[in-house]
Amino acid sequence: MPRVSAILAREGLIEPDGDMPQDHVPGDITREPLEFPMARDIRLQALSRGDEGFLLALGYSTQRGYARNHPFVGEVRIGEVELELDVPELPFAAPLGSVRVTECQMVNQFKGSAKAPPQFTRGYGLVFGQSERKAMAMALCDRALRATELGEDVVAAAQDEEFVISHSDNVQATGFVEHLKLPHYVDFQAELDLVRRMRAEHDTRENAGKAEEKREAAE
Amino acid sequence: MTDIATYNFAYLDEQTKRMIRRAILKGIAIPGYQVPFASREMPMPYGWGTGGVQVTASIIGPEDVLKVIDQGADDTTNAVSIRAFFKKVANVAVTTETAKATIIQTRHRIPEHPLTSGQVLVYQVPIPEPLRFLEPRETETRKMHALEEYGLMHVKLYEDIARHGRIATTYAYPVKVEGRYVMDPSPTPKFDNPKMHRSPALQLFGAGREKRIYALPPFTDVVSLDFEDHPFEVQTFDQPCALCAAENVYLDEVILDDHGGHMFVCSDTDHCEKRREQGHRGHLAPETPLALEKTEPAQ
Repeated sequence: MPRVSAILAREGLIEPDGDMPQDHVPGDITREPLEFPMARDIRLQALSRGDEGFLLALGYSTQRGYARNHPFVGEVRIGEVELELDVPELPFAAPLGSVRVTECQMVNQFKGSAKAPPQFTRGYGLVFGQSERKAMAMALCDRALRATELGEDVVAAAQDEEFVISHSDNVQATGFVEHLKLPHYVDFQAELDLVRRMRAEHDTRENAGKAEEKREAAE
Repeated sequence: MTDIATYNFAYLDEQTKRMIRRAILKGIAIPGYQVPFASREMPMPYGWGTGGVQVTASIIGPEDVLKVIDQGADDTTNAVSIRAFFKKVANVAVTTETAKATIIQTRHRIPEHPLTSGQVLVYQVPIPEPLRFLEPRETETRKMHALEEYGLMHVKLYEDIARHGRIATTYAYPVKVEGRYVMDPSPTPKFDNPKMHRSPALQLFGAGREKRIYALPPFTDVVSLDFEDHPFEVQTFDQPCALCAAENVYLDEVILDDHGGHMFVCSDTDHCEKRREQGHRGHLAPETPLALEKTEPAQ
């Protein structure tokens, strides 16, 4: 099925979909540690796995003026894709079935920069399940994160790749926040000891100061 | 065992173990350098020791004897779960005795009993980057390490002294490794820092969520950062352990009642039990001697 954005592309009104160099092997964030700055394929994978609430809030922040880039929804579509699994110890890809995904092509205004002529630019979202909200939020974040590529000033949180991608994985975020439930009494004891000592020294200084004042008043 | 799902030895697949072992070897070759590795999702939450578990899983063999501690104790929830995990997926012998363990996985403490040659201490690390709280960007901190630009850290320590009269870092106290890399020793109290210096044991650090591994080979120089006029000092306690009367060990403050009553006891439970078995008695020690099973063989 052709995409709506292809109609705009015929007139050259929208930038091309973006190509990776011929010899580019797509990255895999489940198999390689993240490094910054990252290629867009890696970034899209991370956004796809990103927490919906986090992407939603960041996308919303761009609409309210933090890295504003007025978006139009070019297309939102939902469909089934086939899923295959590469098992390292098997010589072939094992078909697992199909999975429902939601895709969003966002069309954004762009006045042009030193690097690119005025034209519509794209933000892309692809997420698991039927979730138009997350697909649109992801597309807003993807467009914001293209700031450096398009020669825009990086002024807001949503444009900051390291900030966004380091904190978008909700399995990581959940684990690290909830680990606070584990005991920390050994390091707390160390802090307790320091605060007690510093308070004792503070009291000694205060009392010494008061005694001095009294002595001076008496004289 | 046969009627339930069986795991590859120590849970991880062999390719993953190979990748992690390569990262460990690189870490050993460059002491204190944080090696990025392709951390896997583990059947436990990030922040709960996924890095330490992956390191242990990659080095453990059927003959190993594993000890796991959290806050120095073998009976804390994280330690119990990880010990049970390796009993199940690697079927190894486990112990609470520091001297009998070949691998010790730890969260927040180094055992009081000196480690020996052949032992491996695996640390669970939440934030591997010692400069992170001064500079949140990984792109910047990696550059700072590469250029050996540690001025920011010294300024931080100096500002502590100017403001508080002392260095106000009590745990995760930064160290310099072999005169090169500044390293985070994980959130152990600074009391434990001297134990890392020229330890005969191999020390491995795993940060799963942050996808970093680093290492201290045996007999590596590990120096806590300080100034000539403000030398590094460890915590001292005014009283001995209330149960085993040990001195010069790290103590926890245990609340006894609702009125602020408390006692100080060893944070290293194995060390404390050992001393009580040998007849040492603190002023609050119960009369009945302990009878605890220390080591469980592989099934």
